Amino acid sequence: MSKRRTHRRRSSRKNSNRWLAKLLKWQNLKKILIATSVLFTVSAVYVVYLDFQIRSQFEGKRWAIPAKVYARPLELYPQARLNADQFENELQVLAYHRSMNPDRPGSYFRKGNNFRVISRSFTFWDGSEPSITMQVRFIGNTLEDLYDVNSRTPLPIVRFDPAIIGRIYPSHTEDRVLVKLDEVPPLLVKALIAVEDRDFYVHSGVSLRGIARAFIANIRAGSTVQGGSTLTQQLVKNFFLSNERSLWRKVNEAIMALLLEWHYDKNEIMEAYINEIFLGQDGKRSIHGFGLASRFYFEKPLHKLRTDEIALLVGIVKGPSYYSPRRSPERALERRNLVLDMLVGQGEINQAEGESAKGEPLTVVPLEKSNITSYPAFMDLMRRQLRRDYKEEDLNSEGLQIFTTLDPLVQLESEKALSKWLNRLGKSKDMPDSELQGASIVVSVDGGEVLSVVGGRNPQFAGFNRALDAVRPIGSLIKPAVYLTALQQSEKYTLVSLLDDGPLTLELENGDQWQPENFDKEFHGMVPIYKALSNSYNLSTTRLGLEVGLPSIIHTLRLLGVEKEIKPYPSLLLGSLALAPVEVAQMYHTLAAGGFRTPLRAIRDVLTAQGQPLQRYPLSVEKVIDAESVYLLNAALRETTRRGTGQGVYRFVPPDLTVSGKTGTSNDLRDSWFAGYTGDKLGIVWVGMDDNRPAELTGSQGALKVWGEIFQTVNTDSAIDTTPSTIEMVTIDTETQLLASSGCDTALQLPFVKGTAPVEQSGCGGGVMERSSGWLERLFKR
Amino acid sequence: MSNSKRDTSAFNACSQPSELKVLLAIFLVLLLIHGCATVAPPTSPTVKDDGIEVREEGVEIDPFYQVPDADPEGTYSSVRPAPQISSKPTSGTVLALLSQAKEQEKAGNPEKAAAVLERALRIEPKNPQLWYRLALLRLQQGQLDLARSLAAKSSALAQGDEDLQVKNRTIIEQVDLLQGR
Repeated sequence: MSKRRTHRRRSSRKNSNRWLAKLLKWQNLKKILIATSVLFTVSAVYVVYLDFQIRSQFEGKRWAIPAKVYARPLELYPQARLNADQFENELQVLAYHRSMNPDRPGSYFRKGNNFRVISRSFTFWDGSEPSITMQVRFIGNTLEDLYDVNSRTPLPIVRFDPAIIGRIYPSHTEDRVLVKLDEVPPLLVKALIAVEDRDFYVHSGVSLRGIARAFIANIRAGSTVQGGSTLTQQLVKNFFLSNERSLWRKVNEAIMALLLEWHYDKNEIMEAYINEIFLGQDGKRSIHGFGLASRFYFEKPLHKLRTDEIALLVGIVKGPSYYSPRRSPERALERRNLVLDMLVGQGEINQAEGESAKGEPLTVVPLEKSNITSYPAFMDLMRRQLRRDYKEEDLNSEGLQIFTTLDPLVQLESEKALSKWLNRLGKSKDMPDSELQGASIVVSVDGGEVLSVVGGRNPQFAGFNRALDAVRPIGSLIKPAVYLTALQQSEKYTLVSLLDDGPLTLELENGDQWQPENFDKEFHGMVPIYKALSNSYNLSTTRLGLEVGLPSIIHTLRLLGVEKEIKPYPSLLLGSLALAPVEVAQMYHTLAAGGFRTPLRAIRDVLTAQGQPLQRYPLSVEKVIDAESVYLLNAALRETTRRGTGQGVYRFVPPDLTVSGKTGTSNDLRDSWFAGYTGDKLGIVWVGMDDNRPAELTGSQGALKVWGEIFQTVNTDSAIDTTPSTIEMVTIDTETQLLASSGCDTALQLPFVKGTAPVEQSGCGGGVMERSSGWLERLFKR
Repeated sequence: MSNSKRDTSAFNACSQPSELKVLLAIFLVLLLIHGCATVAPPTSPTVKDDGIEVREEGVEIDPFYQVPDADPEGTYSSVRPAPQISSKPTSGTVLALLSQAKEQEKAGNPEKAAAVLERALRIEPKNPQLWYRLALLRLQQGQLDLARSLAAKSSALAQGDEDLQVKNRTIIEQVDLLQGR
């Protein structure tokens, strides 16, 4: 046996020797060398590939300093139309801190209608605003007193720092609240290091000590309480957004972490981490970065967070869904307190601070209040104007400052008004929730500045922007263009020219017969122009439109600012033309501004990082329609809100506010429109269904209510129209359309181009003719 | 809205009209300022040597003539008699802005002066004086179409203010002249 065994051993040694000899043969060695070098090359290429991947991710996030987008700055001056609550609202948008004893810029004290405010300094392109300690007093809706506390002198005007409403990459669509490392509360950085990666400033991307520590901690706890990943590894993991848990992935992450550390310094990595890490989910949107998370959970900027709030955010890094403070508040609270304990343990905060922070309840705001996408519909318009008016390479330059026209107060009221009425109207129609949709846009009358845009019933949702993209038939909103075309021929048409509102049959180009109807299905006989418009009669309008001619009306629409192609079909006269609310706003703006067209603008200035204007959007106007005919038309549109289809607005706004307005309803009650303007603001509202089913609302039943609600709350004033010198005011008997005296029960003052008013007396009110150059007003009730 | 592309380029618009026209504009403006500063106001229109009619009276070509150099507390009213038919009087706030605009103008920053005037217009959008001053500033910058439109806007808001009507008409006439209409 032993012999045999020996033999066998010997033979095996002999075999292995032979194998070794074979191995050592040059040929094989060469093969092995080739195999090794191929493996090496492949690995090297792979590492280079990983390096490329991770660097392009990192550079893409890091080097682009986003553009800061600002709302319009609030201007305070004596007699400004603003009340104390609106002012405080604005201060909160600006993240001013309310305190008993305001002592630094950005703080204020309020007692009733009195404020003491220390404004922040800010450098605008056209001048610098220093920080001012001011006393402000309101009486009702007016700013009564404004003076400098230090010099005890009245202030003629104070321009506040503008609220930042977003940080964007003008050339792509992602929105984030990016922060720079020096803007981050130091405690946040300390807490991240204490909780997630104690060796962050020492390791080279991967930490064996960290892994060991986590291993021991996990064994002690009997479950996974700590991860061994460094912040760098977590950052890498976040770049590639995969939840796959495999060894291969871990290896990749580790290699990339080492590569990142090799290329960049710790502070750069920390800044990227703070802006990149996943911190929550809002429907389809992921919440990345502490800047956005701070708004998402607390509705305030990162630098405003308290110790307990910082601890909560750091706590949920471990599992934003598992530790969601909205869904699992207890778990989140426990996790937060654990973080606070760790901070105390590491000496980052003292015992007392830790205990006091642990005593705080969770202060997370409800999801619907978390205003993370500030004004997506407005931002959308702003982006489109940027892309339309600027060169791509200019937009890609770093650190642009974009000064917009957004008025946060008007925006807020518009959002509230639209949501409120869509809910009410939807309920009254027994519609399922959220089916009824709408949009609104508010513009300043003389400057053409877009003050607010709401793109749907959920204003925070950055989806389909109906204010810009819902192109719907405008119904009777077309009519002012028809009447304006007629009124331009002052020798032929006046406000009291009679139109036939009797039955009408038209033959269309295709030979079909078309019989337009009035909304009330009635015929109204002979009606004066102002009444046909204010009551929105279809038959008389169609007749008038055919009389003045479709091409002329299309020409008027062009002058008013409608740019899309318009086909000269008779149905145009009853509003088959489909426009988006923003296009309607452009059209009505020209009417509101007295025949001067101004391109609507959402942007005032764009400055480079150095504060130089890239390009300004100066105020420009172009006279496109003569003042007289617009003046006449506006008189009829004021009749519309006083006694016509738009009179519902006075259930909302005070009776002394002058409103020119027009309702619009498309076929089968699919679209409900209202366009209306006061002396300083124009508002357009659309209400309808996304799938074009009938909303079953007329203009006055739907959109008008939203408009009324908006204009009830925003500050606005009546038109200070100056009557053109070629216009005279004449008192007309509305029964006969002849001259009347003020004693006449059916009298109405209407403007006429001089020499075109009726000359015959109606005899009503004693037969004394009355002419004056006063305001259009109803003298007596009918 | 596409025509705003053209309008927004107004910032660089000095290069738009031909240089000759700009020079002519500047010359005219200088001429008018000169006349304003040195000639005692006669009462009737005078015709200068070059044939351009200049209404000395009421044609203050300095857009900020009403605003003293440094005066935080309004003594402005004494500088100029009230217009025959005044709309709302210009507020202290707007006067303060006008004074700022004047400083920018003096410092050779017409575009900043325009921005300040626009600020004032946001506060008093129907104040025809402000529209007139912006028109004048644009005229000085050689932005002729814009100057003409702004003067027309001022006129539309200044019904009854004969003084301002005349000034606006002068701007429009100058633009017409420069554009060879």
